Amino acid sequence: MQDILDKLMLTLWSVWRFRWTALVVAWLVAVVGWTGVAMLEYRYTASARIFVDTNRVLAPLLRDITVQPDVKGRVALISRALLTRPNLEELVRMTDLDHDIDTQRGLELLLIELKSRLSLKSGRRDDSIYTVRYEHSDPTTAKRVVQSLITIFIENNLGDEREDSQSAETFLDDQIVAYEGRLVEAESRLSDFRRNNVGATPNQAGDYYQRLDNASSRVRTAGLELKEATNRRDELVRQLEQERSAESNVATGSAQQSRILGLQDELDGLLTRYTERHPQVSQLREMISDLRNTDTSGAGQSGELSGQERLQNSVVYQNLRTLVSEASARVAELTARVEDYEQEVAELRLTVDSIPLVEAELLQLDRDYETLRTQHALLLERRESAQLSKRMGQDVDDVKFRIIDPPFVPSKPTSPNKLLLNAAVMAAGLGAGTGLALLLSLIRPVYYGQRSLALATGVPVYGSVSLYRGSVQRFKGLFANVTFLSFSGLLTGMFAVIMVFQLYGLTLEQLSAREELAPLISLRDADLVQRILSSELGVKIVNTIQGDSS
Amino acid sequence: MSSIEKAVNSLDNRFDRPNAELSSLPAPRLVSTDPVVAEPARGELAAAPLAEVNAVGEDDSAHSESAPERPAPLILPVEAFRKAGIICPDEPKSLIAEEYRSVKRPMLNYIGRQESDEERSANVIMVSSCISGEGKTFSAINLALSMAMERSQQVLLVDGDIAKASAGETFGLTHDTRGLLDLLQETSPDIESALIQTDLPNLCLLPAGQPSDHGAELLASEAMATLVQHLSERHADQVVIIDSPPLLMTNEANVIAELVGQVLFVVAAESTSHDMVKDALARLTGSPNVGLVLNKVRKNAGRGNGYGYGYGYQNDKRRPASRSRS
Repeated sequence: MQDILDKLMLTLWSVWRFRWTALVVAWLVAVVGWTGVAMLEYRYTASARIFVDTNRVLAPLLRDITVQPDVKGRVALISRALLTRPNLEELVRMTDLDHDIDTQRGLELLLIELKSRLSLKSGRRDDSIYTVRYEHSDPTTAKRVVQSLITIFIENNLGDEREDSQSAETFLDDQIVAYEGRLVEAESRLSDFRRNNVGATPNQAGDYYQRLDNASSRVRTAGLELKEATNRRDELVRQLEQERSAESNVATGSAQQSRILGLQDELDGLLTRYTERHPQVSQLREMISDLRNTDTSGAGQSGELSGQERLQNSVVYQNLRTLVSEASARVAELTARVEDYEQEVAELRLTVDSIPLVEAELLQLDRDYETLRTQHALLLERRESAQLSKRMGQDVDDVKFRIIDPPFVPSKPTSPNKLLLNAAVMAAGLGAGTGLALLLSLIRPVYYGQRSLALATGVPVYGSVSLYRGSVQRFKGLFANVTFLSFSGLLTGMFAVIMVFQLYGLTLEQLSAREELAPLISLRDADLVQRILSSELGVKIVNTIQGDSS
Repeated sequence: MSSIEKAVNSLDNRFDRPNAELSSLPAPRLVSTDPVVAEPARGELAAAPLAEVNAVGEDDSAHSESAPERPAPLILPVEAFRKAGIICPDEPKSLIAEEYRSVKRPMLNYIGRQESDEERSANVIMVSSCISGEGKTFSAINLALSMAMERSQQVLLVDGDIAKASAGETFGLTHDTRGLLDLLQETSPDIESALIQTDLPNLCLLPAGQPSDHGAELLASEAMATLVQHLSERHADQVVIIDSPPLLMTNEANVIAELVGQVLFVVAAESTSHDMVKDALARLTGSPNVGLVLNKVRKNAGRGNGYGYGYGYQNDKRRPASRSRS
């Protein structure tokens, strides 16, 4: 501990040795520093808070990007999207910042400077509320710039949005018209086709193969029927022949016999088909029984009748002949029918190639038409929804940008903090002085005590002799010290004066800034007006009258 | 020793003062016949009038009564000493006196210990420093005065700083007083005549002498070695203190350093840098015994002795009776 104290004392004495150098350096640094600080310009920062609908602003940019950037990325994008060169140029124009710049290069520099002094920052978690800040040495200019920037945002975006929706609508209309044309075309094509391929188009019975099946079965059925009818006719013809032959072969006496035989045969034939209860069967039996009865009774009475007469008189024969003609007619009918059906089948078979093709084409036309119709319907729907959204957008206020806090410039300048800087200059001066003194003492060290001398040289020290000063010398020493202290005091005094002056000057600056700002409060926003009136002037708003904005 | 001196010494013993160390002024050692000259006024400043004393002394040497030619002893300019902070013989307990007591002790011990067949005599002490203004002359004079207060030391203070001759000046001698350089230039010098006896019986002076352009060469000559040798052997308990020029600024100091047996190196506190001391000491590596003394120490800066002086003598318990001060 003692060593530490000794070292401390030693250091202090070393600095004291070079006190004049330290003082001079401190003075130099302080004076230069204070002059520099005094020449610094005050800067004011105007700030406003706005609400930005980030999604809508970024939508055109991010339309085709599948991965959405995170909040920070979006904030950066917003900044770049809003602080574009056209916007900045318009800003410069609006605020007359370029009133003394002629060259292109000057304008470029101004724009760069503007961009660097403007800041658009968002809250950390929330990317919807942004703070616009601008720094300038003139508070009114700063405020004007921020106000103009916000105006530019709002105006630009209203315009953009309207344009967008307009173009979308036009596009939709064009598309719809085109589709309608195509639809009409398709319809006409379809109807033409249908017209041209009447027979081949599928009817209610079914498609081609079904039709072929039906026709074939009809042919088969009709063929069967024809066969039956043919058989019947043949059978009847045979019976007729048989009867005839029987009549011609048998004698007169046996004419009746042969007639009975004929009837018997006919009965047999009938019986193959009908039962006993059939009227024809019963009739024939009666006839047969009658004949037999008459045969016995009237045998040989009318034998002079000719065979033909007999035939003609023979009921059986006549019936048979009727039946035969009926059967023939039926056969002919059925034959015709079969032929007809067969022709139909043949025709169908002929068109076996073309009908499916037609059917396929018809299907395609149908499909095309269907597609067109669906698309058309979709477009119509879309146009409707676009119109609806546009109407909605017009009715509701555009919420892409909204001012939360209007531009405000505090009357106290944001930078530089001259008070702090002045104090820092003083500290720097003192530090530099002391540092230099220390450095010098380290470069040229001397001995203060016997012990260090002995240690350093290794030579025995016989003793140390105190400093003796005569009165003159003592006075001189005192005088020097007093001078030194007075100069140091002077420096401190200057520092105090400068600080006080700075405070006073700051107050002055605030007052003048406030006076400058007073008439510039814009009356665009009713909320703002309300707020100002109530806070600054203590006026309470009793009633607000809504008027139009013109 | 001459008979007269022996008689004076016995006179001293008869008085038998309790403060044996210090012989107060005026010491009745004068052998001059002129009573006026014998008792010069007190409190005079060290200035020109002493030249007259010397002249008178010189003249008197021609007609001293019963002794070989002996000039009037030089009165120490005590007031001047007091103003300059030099030891005043009538203040034996002052701070400066105490400090130099501790400084001289090891040197005297070394003299006592010294082998007889050494080449250089330990009783020849050189007082030097790095640069001028550090207090060589101050230290030399103080050392001389301090040693002169010893009981049996004969001290001869030689002003070897031939450029400035400040030691002689402090004693009040003019620059043209015959001294060292003159002795060196003479072929067969009369050494004793050049020595100046002060009113302290143990203390003699040899001033620098008439300034010469070849001072350095003279100091380096064989004659100087012979002279130093002679001076060191003058008495049994002789101590020769040579106040030399600064070591780093001249070459003469190196030369003198070759001839002496002890060196007292003066370092000024808060003034001499470490490097200078190192350089100077490096030049003295040939000398056998080097000792340092730290001069101009502020009481509060370094801690010197730090434990105070004047032990026991401030409360008047055992103060010697009838101390005459002036």
